Amino acid sequence: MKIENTKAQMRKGILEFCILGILERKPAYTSEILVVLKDAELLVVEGTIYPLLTRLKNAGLLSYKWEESTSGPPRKYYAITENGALFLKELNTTWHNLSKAVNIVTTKTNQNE
Amino acid sequence: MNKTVNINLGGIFFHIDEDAYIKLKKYLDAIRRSLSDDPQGKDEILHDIEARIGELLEEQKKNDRQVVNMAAIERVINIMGKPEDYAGDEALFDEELKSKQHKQKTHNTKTRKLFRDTEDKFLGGVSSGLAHYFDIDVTIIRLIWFISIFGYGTGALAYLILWIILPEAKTTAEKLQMQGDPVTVSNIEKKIKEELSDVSDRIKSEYENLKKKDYSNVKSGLQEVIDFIIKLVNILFQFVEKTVGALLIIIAFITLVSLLIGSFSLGSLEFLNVSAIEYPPFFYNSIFPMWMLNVLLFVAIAIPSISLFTLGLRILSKENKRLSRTTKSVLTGLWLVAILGIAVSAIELGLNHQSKSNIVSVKKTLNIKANDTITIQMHSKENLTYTQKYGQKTILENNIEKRYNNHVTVAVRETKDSINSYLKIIKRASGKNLKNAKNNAETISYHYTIKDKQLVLDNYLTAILRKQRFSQQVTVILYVPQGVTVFFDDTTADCLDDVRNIQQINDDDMINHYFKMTAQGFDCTDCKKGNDNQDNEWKTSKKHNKGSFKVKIDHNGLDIKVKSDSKDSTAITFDKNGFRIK
Repeated sequence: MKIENTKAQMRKGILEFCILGILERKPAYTSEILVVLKDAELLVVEGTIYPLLTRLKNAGLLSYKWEESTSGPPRKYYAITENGALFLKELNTTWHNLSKAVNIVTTKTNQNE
Repeated sequence: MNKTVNINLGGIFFHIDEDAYIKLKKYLDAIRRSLSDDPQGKDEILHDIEARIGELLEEQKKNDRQVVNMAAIERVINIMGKPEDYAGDEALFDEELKSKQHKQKTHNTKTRKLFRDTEDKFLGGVSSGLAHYFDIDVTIIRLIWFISIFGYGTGALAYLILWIILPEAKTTAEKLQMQGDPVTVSNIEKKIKEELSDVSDRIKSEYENLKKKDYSNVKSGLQEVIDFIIKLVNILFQFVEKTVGALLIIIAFITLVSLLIGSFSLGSLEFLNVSAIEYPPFFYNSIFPMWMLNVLLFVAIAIPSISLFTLGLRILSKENKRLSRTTKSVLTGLWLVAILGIAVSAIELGLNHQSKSNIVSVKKTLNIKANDTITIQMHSKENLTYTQKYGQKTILENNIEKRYNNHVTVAVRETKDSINSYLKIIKRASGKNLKNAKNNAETISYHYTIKDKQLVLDNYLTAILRKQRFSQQVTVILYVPQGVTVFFDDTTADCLDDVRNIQQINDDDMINHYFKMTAQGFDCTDCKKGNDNQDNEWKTSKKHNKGSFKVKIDHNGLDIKVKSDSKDSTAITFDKNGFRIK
């Protein structure tokens, strides 16, 4: 078992959650999403996000439309769909439960030591 | 100094150094491969990635005239991550994908390539390279090469060509590629299927995309439909393209295989002296030896087939490498040489075919006087056993192979100048020019004997054997004075030709009859008047007081003779030679 794999796996699920979270606030195009994720140090390389976005879109959680930009070719603006919003809500609950659980478990083990 | 390439990344225009371009292209190809288990999203993801790379490069650019260099591409790749990162993401999400992907990956990277294996070489390592490629024992391949030497050296030439065009496996990667996934028919089929299913997947995904669209905006909805139709046409076009590619491969493959089998078996059959096949005269009458023509024809057909084959492969999959420039020029050069050779041979043959014919004639005086009766007999060769060579009948004469044929004709005429009889033997042959034709005619040997008023003529001739045909023939004309009677033995049946006689009896019907040379011509002395033994003949004759009127219709044609007592006569003949009035 490699630590990288486990780390990556942990981050992956969270990444979807975070993308949906970012887009819930306002529609954004890929580079904007990237900036937020990179600032939060959730993302190491940018490449990872593209298959993810496409899959979320194909699952009907995201939609996109082309918008003209002032500094270049048109950009793909992603927005969250109704399904996506529901999905996000559920993930939110799960996340809170999980973090609580993880907190309890890890702190208890620490106390035991 | 660096060559630059112009590219369009997500709608932004870039000048890019060639090496950087290659690096970028390899990077994108690698991503495409690692995404290959997701055909629907693949194009879209790649498009997004290209757009992002374009953006990143644009950010790095200081001014419009700056060229994207290797360092810039490396920075971008650093930001975007290694190709495995894209794939790793997919695999981690879905464990079952992982194994599938693994399979896909090995398939893609391990397609076998044809190299020369110089580590195990006899001459150039072509055989061992082929052995790796087709996964057979190298001994078998070497054996095939050896046998193919008998195919007029076609094998040796093919070997040379392969030696020239095949790259040597130098690096470890190349050596591994040499032994990768076998290139078998089923693998080619798999490749074709993959390509076709890729196309159909894209049709499906486009359709699904369309279904998902929101139709609230009618105008954009219409636009979408039009877009969809355009895309559909594009995809259908691609489908046709791939089918054409597959067809090209199949056709070229069949041509090559049949060509190999054909030239090999022809060569070996000739080698074993089997006369079952006859080459067209083109092969015999050429200035080039036959094996050379074989090789030229082989090259002239094989090289276009090879290019068709590679074209087909390229249509099927753009990833297949083109032939290198040297290979192309070597192939083109060889092809031109072959075409030129065939053209020269054909032109030469054409000139040769415009042959002149010439004769050599011999006159032999015979001791036949007036009132003698002479019998003409034809003599066939005893124990005739002939073989075929160059598509001609040949016999052994004093252990020398000679051309044999039955083109002998016999005629009888009246001597004009003497009271002596003589035999004129005319030998006829064709050739490039008159002199050549004369020489060819001189090589004809023809014999006859005369004994006790019996003239025995050979019904065959022999001549020097060449691969060309010279249409040798012999005409024997017996000249006799008036008063000599000639009897045609029934062996002469097939040889008589244009023996003119008063009764206008057909040559075939003259046998077993006596003919006497008279002042009027050759006169049959024992033919019945009227309906003789001749079939299909209708004769009528009326005697007038002052002359005669004769109409004869038979298989020779129509013959009308009008004779008045003043010795003026008119004859109208209508036969195979045309219409004549005398």
